[in-house]
Amino acid sequence: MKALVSMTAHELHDKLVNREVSALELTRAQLAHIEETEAEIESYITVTSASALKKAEEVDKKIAAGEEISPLAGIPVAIKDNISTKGVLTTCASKMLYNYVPPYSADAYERLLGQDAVMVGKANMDEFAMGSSTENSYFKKTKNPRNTACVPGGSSGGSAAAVAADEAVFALGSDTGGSIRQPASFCGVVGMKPTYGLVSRYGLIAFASSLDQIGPITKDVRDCATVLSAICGKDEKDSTSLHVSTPDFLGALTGECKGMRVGLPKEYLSDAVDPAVREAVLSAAKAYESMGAEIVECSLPMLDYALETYYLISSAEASSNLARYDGVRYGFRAEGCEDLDSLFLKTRSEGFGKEVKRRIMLGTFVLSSGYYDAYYKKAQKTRTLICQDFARVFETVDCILTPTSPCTAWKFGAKSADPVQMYLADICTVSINIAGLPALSMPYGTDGEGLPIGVQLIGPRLGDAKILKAAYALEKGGR
Amino acid sequence: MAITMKEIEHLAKLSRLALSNEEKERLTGEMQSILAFADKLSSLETEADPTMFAADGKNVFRKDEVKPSLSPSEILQNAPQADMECFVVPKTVE
Amino acid sequence: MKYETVIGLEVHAELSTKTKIYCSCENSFGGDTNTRCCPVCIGLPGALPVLNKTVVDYGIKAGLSMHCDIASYCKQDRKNYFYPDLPKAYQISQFDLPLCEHGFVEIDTDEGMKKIGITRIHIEEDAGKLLHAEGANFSLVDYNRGGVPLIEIVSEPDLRSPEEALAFLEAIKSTLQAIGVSDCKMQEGSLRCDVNVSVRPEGQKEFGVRSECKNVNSFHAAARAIRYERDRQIAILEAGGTVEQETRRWDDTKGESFVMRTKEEAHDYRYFPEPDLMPIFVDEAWKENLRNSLPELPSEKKKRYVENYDLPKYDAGLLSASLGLSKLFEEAVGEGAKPKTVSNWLLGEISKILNETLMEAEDIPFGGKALAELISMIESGTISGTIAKQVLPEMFNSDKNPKQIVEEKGLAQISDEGAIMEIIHGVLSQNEAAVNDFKAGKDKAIGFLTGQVMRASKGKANPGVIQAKLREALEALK
Repeated sequence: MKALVSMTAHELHDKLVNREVSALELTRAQLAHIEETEAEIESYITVTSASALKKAEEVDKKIAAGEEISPLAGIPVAIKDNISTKGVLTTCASKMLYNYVPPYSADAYERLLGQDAVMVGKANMDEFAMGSSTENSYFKKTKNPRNTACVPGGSSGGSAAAVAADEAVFALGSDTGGSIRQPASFCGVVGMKPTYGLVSRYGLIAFASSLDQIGPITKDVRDCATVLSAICGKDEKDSTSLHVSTPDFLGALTGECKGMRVGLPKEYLSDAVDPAVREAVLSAAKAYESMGAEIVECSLPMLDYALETYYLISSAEASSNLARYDGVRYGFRAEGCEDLDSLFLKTRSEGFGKEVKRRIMLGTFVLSSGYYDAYYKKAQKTRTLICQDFARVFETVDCILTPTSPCTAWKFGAKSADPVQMYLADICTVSINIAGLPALSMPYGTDGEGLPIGVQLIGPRLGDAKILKAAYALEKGGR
Repeated sequence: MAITMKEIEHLAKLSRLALSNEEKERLTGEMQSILAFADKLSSLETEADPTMFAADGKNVFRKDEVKPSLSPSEILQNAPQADMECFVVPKTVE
Repeated sequence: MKYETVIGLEVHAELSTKTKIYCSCENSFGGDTNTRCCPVCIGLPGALPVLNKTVVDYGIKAGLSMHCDIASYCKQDRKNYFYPDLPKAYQISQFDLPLCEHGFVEIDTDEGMKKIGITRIHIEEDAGKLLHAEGANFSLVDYNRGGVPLIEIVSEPDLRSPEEALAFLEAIKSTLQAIGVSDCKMQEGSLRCDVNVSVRPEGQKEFGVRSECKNVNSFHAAARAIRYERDRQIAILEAGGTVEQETRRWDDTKGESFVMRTKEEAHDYRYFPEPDLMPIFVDEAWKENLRNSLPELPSEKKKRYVENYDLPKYDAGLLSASLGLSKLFEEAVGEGAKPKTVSNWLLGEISKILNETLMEAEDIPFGGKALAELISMIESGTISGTIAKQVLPEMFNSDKNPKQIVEEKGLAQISDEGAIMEIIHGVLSQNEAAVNDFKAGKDKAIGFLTGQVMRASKGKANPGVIQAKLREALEALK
């Protein structure tokens, strides 16, 4: 029999409703499994056992009282440690926030609490979400549960590893340039970045405001749709939150994709992509064809400029977003600061890690006088072209199929030496954030070493239901 | 473009980062390669309007209605140093 | 050589909205430290700004009242710099696309009315406050003021003297008060300005090198800072030197300014569009709605006072510039008081009390009705002008009306001829010398004796009656 902790949220929901298991039993089983697994995987920065057990008891009371419970009630969830959780340590995996306990909660987390989900811990990540391997965490190195010699991907590596290692039934991550999708792909789970503005960013500790988006990491597509339904919606506290009625994501999961037009852009299948990954994408395309979808070969030539555009815009915004960490109001303050200058300089130099400093320097550079037009403004213009590129293709297709990452999980340290090599690994995901589109990564096969491969489905703006529909069809009938 | 050590020092000052000589040298090299990689954009000729906002919204406003603030203890709970219901910093030069 | 002074001003006015610009914390002054703060206005990680619509309304109103073009499209930008009072280490402001541009205000000068150009008006957030304890080696930060909405009004370099600068500041203040967007209380720092000054030899077309002076916290300080800077620059030029472009800091107690940073040290603010906020589109309907809601502006009011009430221009100018005084004026006149008399009281005794107590005219505790009552008591002979000047401070200190005060204090004027004659007889019997002077034909003695009678009546005797009766009594002695 399948272990409780390895089940999906919808399977567990049925068990809770049918009283085959109580929320408390489930949470205890989850915490026990974390206890066993954590030494090896290190998904979490903080495990919140006490509050989890308390929440589970509340859910059991509701069940006992005959109340109807929400689909996520009693389900253990891991929250990425850059999502503010009132009263619970929220570090962004940085020394800078090693002791920061927010006095308020992120909107997405509030919504999960409203659904009675049970948070079991705060997941590890790259410091301030800057990285693609979770090696940039100040606290620990999370291992890929599929092969512990490999990185779990990043920056939401802790969230993806927790779900893959059954240390949580699902997780919330954040995605600025692929930070949900790439670790989901590396760990063999489902991860989705919703349309920009669909999920409130209020309480998400900003990396790059115009690119950041919270999204689900789950064990299957149905759970992904369920979690997205729970966390999305207009938030008056986020000016960029969209005013749209929530689409019926679960209703879109028909298992069919007949007549759907699936774009296959040639630029995403270049020689820079591992052969095994390319094979997986092509075989997914074949699967779609066999299910009655139409494969449309298309071109997104602006991909060539996506990474540069992404790194300039995201670093510029980050340099400003991370300026507030100055040792005055919260978090780390360096010892022995005699004057203001040394307070700022020492605190920021000792509090931030290497990669974060690198991006702050780059961002400061592109915004500084004399370089703004050549770099930042140019990147904003290229951003327009990238958006137009996608808009043109979406005139003829419903969704686009690509690899999530050009490669599978790499070994620890393999790309740490050269920042540009690390940046290149984000080639398939960053343009989606630049254009504000929804995209989902789902496992589709493995490479020669048995490491999971992820395929990415990209939708038009607010086409979140479309890609869930396509993903669900592939998950059901795509083998 | 080439980036000099002097520029690195200027950027570090603007960013309030104190860098060791070793860090400065490393960053000079790294920034150099990142910028070489970013220089590709300058070869792209375009008259496109810059995208300044990620969403299409406009006129997103809040009503001018008072809502409760946090308590001073919540405001100060994370302060590295606090006194007299205020954040404490080294004396600012007046 | 003769020099011309060229002055441009940047005025920051706090808007009197109920809440802050980007969060729902109360916008008010005073109170305990850090009590009007939330995740947004202390810049907690993850908190996001949402723009208060009333701030935009007020900004547009200010623009319309100063004849500006209102931008149909504008945005907000981040201005990046580090300081402990700036919680996010950036100020949300407006950079290249301000809300209002290309306006003017008119000021009265010796050469007549002069138009002073308004370059732009933009909206932005205020910073918190640093508090310095005496002798301590640390400073305290209070973020109550952080996120209070400001408009920054930037003038063209059209001003030519400290007096013009003062007139401009008065015009800005009275306009903002009249349209109800700022209370402009200098004592509470809700109006502050930066002063840009340069000098050039008279007749020269090009501007000289300018300096910017910060920390100017009163109109008085603005005029002093300008004079100081003008003299400093002229002295440099006269000595054959060159003026440096720099930012200086005004020290009002010392009456001097000091270099804050040179041109080379100028900040690189790295402005870029604020990605957490959406752009602002102002359509005609919105603009017209606000235009129609604007009250009479001080310049229009001044004209009306001259035309309808026959007030001297000087009186009309002072009254119309103050929301508090013009309100009292119109109320009192509405009660039937003579306009010029009301104006004399407002600009005389009442303004004197305001100056002495550092009170704003808007805070005067009585209304125009009470003022009219006071005036009517003088005119009916119930009290003298001298007594009225004693009643007035009571009106500031209590909520009693003048009649009550006069009754309770027994200040009513004595007009009873018999009673006054009795006092006169008493005075005459004690001042034989003066009486003899009068008899000897020295009419001056009457003045002295009048004063003595007034004093003996504790100021309550009707002066007209004294005059008539005193002469009668003296003539009888002849």
